Amino acid sequence: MSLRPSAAVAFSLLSSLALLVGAGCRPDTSCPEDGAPCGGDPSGSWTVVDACRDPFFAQPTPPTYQSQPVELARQPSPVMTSSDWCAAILLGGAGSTAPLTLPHDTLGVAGGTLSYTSDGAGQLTGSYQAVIDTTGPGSIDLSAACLTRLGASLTCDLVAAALGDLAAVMLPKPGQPCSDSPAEPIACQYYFSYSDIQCTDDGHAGCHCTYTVSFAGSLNGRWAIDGNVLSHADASKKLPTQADYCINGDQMALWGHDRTSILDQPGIRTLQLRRTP
Amino acid sequence: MNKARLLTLACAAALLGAGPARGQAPTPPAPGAADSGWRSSLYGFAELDGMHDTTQSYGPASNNAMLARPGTYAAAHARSQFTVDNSQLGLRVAAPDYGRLRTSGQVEVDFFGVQPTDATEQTAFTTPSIRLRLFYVKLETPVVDVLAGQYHELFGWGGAGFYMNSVAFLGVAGEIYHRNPQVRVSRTLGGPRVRLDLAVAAVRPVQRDSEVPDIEGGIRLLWNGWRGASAQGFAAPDLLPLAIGVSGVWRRFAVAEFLTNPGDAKVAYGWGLAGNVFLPIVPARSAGNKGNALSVTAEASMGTGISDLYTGLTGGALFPLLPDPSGGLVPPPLYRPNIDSGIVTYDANGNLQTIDWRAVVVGLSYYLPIQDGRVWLSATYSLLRSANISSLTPEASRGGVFIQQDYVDGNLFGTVTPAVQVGLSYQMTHQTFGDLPFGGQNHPESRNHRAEAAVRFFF
Repeated sequence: MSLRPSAAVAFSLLSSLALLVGAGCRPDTSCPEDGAPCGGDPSGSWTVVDACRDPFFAQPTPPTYQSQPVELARQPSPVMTSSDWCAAILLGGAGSTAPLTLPHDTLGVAGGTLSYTSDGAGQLTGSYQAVIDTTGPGSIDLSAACLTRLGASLTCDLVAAALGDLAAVMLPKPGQPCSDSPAEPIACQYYFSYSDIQCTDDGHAGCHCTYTVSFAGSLNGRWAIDGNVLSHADASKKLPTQADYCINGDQMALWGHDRTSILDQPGIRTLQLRRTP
Repeated sequence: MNKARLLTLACAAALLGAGPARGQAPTPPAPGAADSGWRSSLYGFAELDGMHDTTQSYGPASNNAMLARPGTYAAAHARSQFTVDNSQLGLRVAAPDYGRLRTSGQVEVDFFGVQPTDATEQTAFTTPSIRLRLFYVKLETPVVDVLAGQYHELFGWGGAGFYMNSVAFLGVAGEIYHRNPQVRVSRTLGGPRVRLDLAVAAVRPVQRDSEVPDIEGGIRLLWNGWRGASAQGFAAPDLLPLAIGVSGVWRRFAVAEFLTNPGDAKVAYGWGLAGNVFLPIVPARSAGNKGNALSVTAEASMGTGISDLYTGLTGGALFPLLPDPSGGLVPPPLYRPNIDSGIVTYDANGNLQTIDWRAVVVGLSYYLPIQDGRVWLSATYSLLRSANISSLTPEASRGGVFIQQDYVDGNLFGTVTPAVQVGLSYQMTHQTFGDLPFGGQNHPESRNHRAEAAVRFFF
């Protein structure tokens, strides 16, 4: 015995309906566009008061392969890898030149400023300068193998001191001191800095180190308006980015146009700003 | 016997190379002869699956693949797919009994074969590759049964009636589902009401360079007096007895040292334990009337270094990157592991470590008391977790692994004709990643919702 023809037809229709309903399901969105773009004149200075950022993640670029062919002649492609357990840190190595890249997860937006200068009254173009401050905690477990691989024998206090020294001498330009303040020259505002570095014994001849990571993305370039879309063309010749925006009194909201990242800062989807008096 | 049948028998004979041992009598008739006593059956099904996902994480099969992370393009956009890759073709062959020896074999293929790396989307879906599923010979003797060839894993009692009933392609998330070349010896004890199966198998080593085959063993108890309705995956339902199974796996790893030019291998051992149950809560009246039958299928598993036994599972685990103290050695220092990724890895001190997994999967199926049970519902829930995948991944890469996966599905099945079955399914997969963004205590999470419809024509 089988289903009656009418039941079979109903089932088939139900199947088709299910797929159509399924096609109506929408993906989860962690940073929804919580307002309607309305445009306005952005000229002036603005302070970031709130933001939404997706938990952006990308596997660290292996320094091993930078500027080098990954595939060697007559060799199979290397398998994908994660990252270096020791974060490429050269502790105790003479002539340490490697950049300090302590691991951290996605940093939260801590603040920032945006300044828009118009080309003239009524003009829909101009120049802008933006500083987006991000910060967050980080930690790394430096194993006994990491601590001794370069021939040094270090205590955790010495490791903390060495990391602090490495962090202090990291300069975006030779001879250019930076303190990671948004008010600094632009050259200082586009790199990671580390502070509050502390290391404790992990009980296995290694060190558990914690620190605070800060990243101040300082950007500038040209802006233009098309309807309710604000375009930012970065002076560093990166591709322009677009944001939907709405100015309401002394409040401005920016939403990445078509869910793109604002000012090309990975994962930053929305910014709420207040006009700076 | 028609022409097709003769051709089938000829193929079967060629595939299995059947024949008596030297010096033994009587000599069985040549296969293919009209009265040879060989039996064969060609079987299979044509299947179409259509599925819509709310993310672009999955191909046609979801299994235990990684979901796109929140905030990525793939996580924010949907996908629809139609595929016939799950269609199958098989051949069962039984040789004439030879004294008290009974010989049979099976060949089964589907179309989930490996695609060339330059395959386009169109060619991948319209000209799929054949994949060997089963290919074995089984010799039944009065003492033990011997199976040699590729078959379901004994670990988890694969192919023995413990698979979940779902439109989703098996294995569903968290379910042990794998096939491997093996030699299995089994022994059945008991009578027609209660049966005890004992089995041990030497299985293809998970890593050929380990030198030692995986060892699997299992014990299964069946009570034929209590039979319920069960369907394996999207297969046609059948009557199966109440069954409880326990199984285990042991394996050795000998992985090249974590150096550019390795010396000795680093050795580690993996193991797994699994418990399975098929419990007919409301037994089926008969094969022809399953109305009101209610059954539970469950599996609990745990182990280390066994991710390959869960379909498509790596959790995102990779080997670490070799350090490059100068930041630019030429040629770059490369580590070439001699084992698939996701099973073992090296920790921060260069010790070989196995990756732990534990899972529980529970399925429920209910045959509606209409049309003699030819319309039925099923639901599956699973939880899969690793306790050490995050700690065995360098800090900077923990966003690339998932530490937990939850899965739930609901299915509606119907038998349109005895040869045609349709199914509808909703499936939700939720994964929790290993990093802690924004300095908080909450791990990022991703979800995928899938609507799937399938139709299958059995032949």
